[in-house]
Amino acid sequence: MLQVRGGDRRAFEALFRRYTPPLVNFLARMVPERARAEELAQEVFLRIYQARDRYEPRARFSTWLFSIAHNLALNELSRSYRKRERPLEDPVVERMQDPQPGAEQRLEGKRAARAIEAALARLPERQRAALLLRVEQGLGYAEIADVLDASSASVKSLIHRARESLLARLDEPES
Amino acid sequence: MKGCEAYNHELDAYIDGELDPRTSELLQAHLPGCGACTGALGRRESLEHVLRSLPPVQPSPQFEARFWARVARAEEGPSWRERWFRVPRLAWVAGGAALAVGLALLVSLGDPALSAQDWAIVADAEGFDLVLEADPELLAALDVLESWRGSEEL
Repeated sequence: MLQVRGGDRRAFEALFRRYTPPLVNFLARMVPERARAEELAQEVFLRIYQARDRYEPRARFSTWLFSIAHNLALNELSRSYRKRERPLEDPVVERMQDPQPGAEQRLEGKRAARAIEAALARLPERQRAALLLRVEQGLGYAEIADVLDASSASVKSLIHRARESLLARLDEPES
Repeated sequence: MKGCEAYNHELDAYIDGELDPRTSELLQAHLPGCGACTGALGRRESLEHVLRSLPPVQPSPQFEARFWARVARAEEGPSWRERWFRVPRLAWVAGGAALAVGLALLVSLGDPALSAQDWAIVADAEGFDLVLEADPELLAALDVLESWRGSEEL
């Protein structure tokens, strides 16, 4: 990022390509529409690009990136709720192609993934963000705390409650 | 010595590697003799496995090209249309209110409203203008009309 601050566009492109997949993945699980998730991911990179000459290495780049993404996601969800949209009604697994005929295991795996995604979508935003940052991005509790602007103890509690909720929802009989 | 409920709250930090070493040791000592906590840990580990195996959402192929197009637009600066519509909503309201007040003042300070008869005279005069442009010989007739209108107003 220090190279980016010095005006090295190639350094920015390297960061962009490295962080685009995890960022899009995170936002796609946070906001209702896939297209909107991509727009928000672009907005995150645009803000970083425009602020590159003011960057101060006080925290890891990923912390900065996901902090911006989290704030944009919360704003988006707030707008969605005002428009009475339900979040994440189209789980990612629903958009995958059907498994090959006879692939019983894959079908079972797809069912489990669908159930998990539906349960994830119903978690409160901060619980969902904390769990996703831990499980999918591999961030530690202290770093998640920086992203969410919370304490490490709060993050521990958010992740505990998120997993408890997921397990409880997965235990519910399918409707 | 903690009870199962207290340990249950530590299980997530334990599988995330975030539990302090002392509590971690106590939990490890507790687990072999406690079916409930071992079961709860196993369920969390299974959940973790499924969460980690979720198919990632991939960016669309045009993502990078669209981003650089957006950067180019941002560096060009906003168009006149964008600048116009960026005027805060309050400014629009204030401008509209000022315009309304201005119009009201104009109406109240200006000439009194024309009567139906006045409008008829205006319409007649406009009709004569058109005729005059076509036939200047009727100029004298207009003079007669104007002098007649003046005497009517007096």
